[in-house]
Amino acid sequence: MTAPAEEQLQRACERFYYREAELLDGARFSDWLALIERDIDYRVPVRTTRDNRDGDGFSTKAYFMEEDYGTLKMRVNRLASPYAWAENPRTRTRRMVANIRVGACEGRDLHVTSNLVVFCHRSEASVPLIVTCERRDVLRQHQDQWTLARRLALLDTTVLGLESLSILL
Amino acid sequence: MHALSWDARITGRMRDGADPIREGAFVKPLHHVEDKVPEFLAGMEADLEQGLLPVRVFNNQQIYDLELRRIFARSWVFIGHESEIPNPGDFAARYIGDDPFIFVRGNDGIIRVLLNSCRHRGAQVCRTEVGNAKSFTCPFHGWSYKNNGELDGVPAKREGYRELNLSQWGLFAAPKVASYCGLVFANLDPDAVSFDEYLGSYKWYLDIQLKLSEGGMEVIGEPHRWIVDANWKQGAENFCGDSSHTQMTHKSVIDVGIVDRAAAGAPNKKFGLHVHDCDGFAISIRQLEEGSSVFWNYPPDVTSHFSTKRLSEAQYELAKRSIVHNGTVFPNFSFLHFGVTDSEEKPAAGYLSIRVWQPKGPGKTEIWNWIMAPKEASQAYKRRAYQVGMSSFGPSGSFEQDDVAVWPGVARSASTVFAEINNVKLNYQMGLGAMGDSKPIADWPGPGTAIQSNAGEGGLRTFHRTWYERIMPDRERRRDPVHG
Repeated sequence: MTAPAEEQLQRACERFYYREAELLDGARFSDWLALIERDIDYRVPVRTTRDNRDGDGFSTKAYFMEEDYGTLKMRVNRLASPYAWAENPRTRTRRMVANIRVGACEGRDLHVTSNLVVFCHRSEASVPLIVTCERRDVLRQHQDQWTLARRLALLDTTVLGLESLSILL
Repeated sequence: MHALSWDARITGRMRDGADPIREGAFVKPLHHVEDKVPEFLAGMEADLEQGLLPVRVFNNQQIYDLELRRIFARSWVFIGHESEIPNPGDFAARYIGDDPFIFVRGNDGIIRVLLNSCRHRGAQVCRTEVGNAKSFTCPFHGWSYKNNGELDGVPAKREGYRELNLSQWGLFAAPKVASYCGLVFANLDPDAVSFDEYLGSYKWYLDIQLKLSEGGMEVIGEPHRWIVDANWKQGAENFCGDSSHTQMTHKSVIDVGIVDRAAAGAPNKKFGLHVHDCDGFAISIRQLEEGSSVFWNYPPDVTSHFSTKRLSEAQYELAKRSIVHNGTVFPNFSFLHFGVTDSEEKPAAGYLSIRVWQPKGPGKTEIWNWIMAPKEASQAYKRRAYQVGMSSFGPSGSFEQDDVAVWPGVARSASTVFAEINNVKLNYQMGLGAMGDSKPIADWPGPGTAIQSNAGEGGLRTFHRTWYERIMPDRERRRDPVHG
């Protein structure tokens, strides 16, 4: 790939993530769902503290979220209910997407790794709860828009400090 | 700052008559430690009889300190499931109260619960959460322990520790450990009653959860762990039968069709069943119509392994009609047998969640949640059970998200000056005496008092009575709050 083409791809990825963050921070969950592929594989594995020789501690069996399109849709539907108390009043989130690394391209599918920081303010708390992770995504390039086909969100924490994982990563 | 010389400290200890070297690896707990009882506890017996509970029990440092010593150091506390540490040397970090322990299978195959604290200078000998180890070597000075807790060696023994008797300096171990259907519980009180005696007749209900499937239940993966700003008793009482919160706290899941109204516990007499005063424990059961075969929505290829081999006909029939079972083994182990879905495109599926409400301070709890499925189920079904379990109960669970959104409010109320000045009491009177219109079922086949109604809080009253009995020895109670 030529340098300008590489730069263009990097910019396109940034645009996708900025748009996604804008929708999630703006609580426009149905619009966010429009960016999700029908065959989405979305996972947030449980992590444990292990000896360095035993690897990074990400579980292959236990997940905080293990989603397909139908389950994400149900989560989004529930968030629309005024009785979803965890998100009413809403967690005020601010997502920072950084360190975007464009990887291999398979047909229309582009492997992209990024870092995510989510600042979460709930209720009267003046100090945010902070969630950080690395996201390993597959972005699908359509002519009119890009979509998310796969996401593996690798949390840095083992014990969630966030009272509930009612936000999307 | 005054620095006490080492010799003075040694002398002081000798004068107090304390033995500088402990015999064996276990010390009997000292029962005289800081036992300051808050005044409002003494008169609580009368409150409980009226279905009242001082809100302060949900966030009070004195109560918390008492609980750690009188309840957590003397009760059977859940540690983990045997299937989490299948091989010799496998271990996982666990807690009793807020004290760190190592749940470990020794090279001899025996499961032990060892205090994660070096006998030399107190550093943690195990600094990871899970793994496999032949030995635990302290990173401070290198004392090394076998995975059965025995002290194996200390550096420079010949030069500086010639007379050290290794056999007397092994890791402290929980004096009592019991395994029931693979669930391992430990008790720090060497004089504690056996786990069987502790469970009493409540075992009848636990057996239904764990022995219905011929091969039993197994844990899928590592537990969820997360922190909630609520007291540990909040979750523990909730699982004893707080059926009337479902319609309000969990209204969103009913609205979007994750669970149907019957399973959510509509205040309809036909479906709700509360069993309380069962040797100090309680369970909440939701059933569907007589004759229905539900089994918590497990599919036929799973229910085909359910039988009366290890259960009575009555236990089997109860399970057959059930869509929800939830209960608490005092103090902080709860279970939920449930069948729901996570998607409009998929049928409901059953799973068993087991959990620990680990105290982390008077107003803070770490929740541990494991998801289980019948051992004989296919790998595909176990995956499905996990997904449905995680999506309903757990940090991202459609139900549990909203529970933990509400509970911190109780801890907040409990810490108010207003509650302290006015000794504010909460109302646990639902269904109590003339408040309700349901009488205990006369021919109920199981133990405890069974009431065919969701409109009651008898299970929660049972929990708090058990709590009161354990935290307040008889001699400290004031029988008559008016004249006493």
